[in-house]
Amino acid sequence: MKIEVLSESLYSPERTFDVMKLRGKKVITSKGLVMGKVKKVIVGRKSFNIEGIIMGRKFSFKKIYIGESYFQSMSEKALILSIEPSFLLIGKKVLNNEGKVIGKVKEVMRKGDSNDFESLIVKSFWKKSFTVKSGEIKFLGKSIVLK
Amino acid sequence: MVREKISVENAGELITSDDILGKEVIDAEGDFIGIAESVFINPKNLDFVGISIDKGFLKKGLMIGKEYVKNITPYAVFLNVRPAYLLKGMDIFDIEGEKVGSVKELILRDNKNQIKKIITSLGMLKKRIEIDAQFIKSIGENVFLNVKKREIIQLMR
Repeated sequence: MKIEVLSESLYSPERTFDVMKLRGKKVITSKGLVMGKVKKVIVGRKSFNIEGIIMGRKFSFKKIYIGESYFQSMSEKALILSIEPSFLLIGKKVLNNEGKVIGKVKEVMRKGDSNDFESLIVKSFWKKSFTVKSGEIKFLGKSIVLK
Repeated sequence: MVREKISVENAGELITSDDILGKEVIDAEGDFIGIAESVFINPKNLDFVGISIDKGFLKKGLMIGKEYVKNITPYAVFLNVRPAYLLKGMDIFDIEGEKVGSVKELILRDNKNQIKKIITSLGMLKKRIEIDAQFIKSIGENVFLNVKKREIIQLMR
């Protein structure tokens, strides 16, 4: 279908895409985990640019807003993030540097609304909950290994 | 029992097979992949060659060469790699995030932990396709390709 163009900037279907098609598409983290689906696309009232999306997750009524600074790429197929959202750390095992399991992540204390976190609240079966600061972490992966 | 020392230097730093066997094996991503089941020693030069891992009930064992062992601690054996076999069953996404399929099989380079090709099936007819490692962008929870799905299909024709 031919479209009549009324614009001061060049309209290029190759460079742009229909945002409406993004609704219902998968939201995939940088490591390839399918986190949920796009429920809403949020556009700035003045800038008219996409500022973020609202995502829904399976088996959860909780909606999550993800700002566009965490987008890696966006297409009609999916939205790929440039991060692993830090709340996905909840439930992961925490190991000391010798590989001993010392607990599981119960809560992530983020820096404001950003994806960076200050500390993790770790719960052990035997002990009371304790705090692990981000500086004490050696690496984050399938589990969390401390320095 | 008092052990007689014949010629062992720095004996305090050494570990025995008992210190390895039964320990959990953790890969480079922090994933628990199984329990150290046996220790392999070269009978000629007596070098430590590697360990075998019990991955669990009804699962095939795995032998890991010593070059992939990072360190051994009182609680676990840490590897410096993520074993390639863990890719099996992962979803494959193209550069746009479109699902291409899931990893059915892997072709490795010799017996090393280097992927040569991943095999998946496409479409209703489950056509088998081999994706060369050069098209893999990253591997994490799933596999990302650096090309579009239709480009992969075109290459297969």
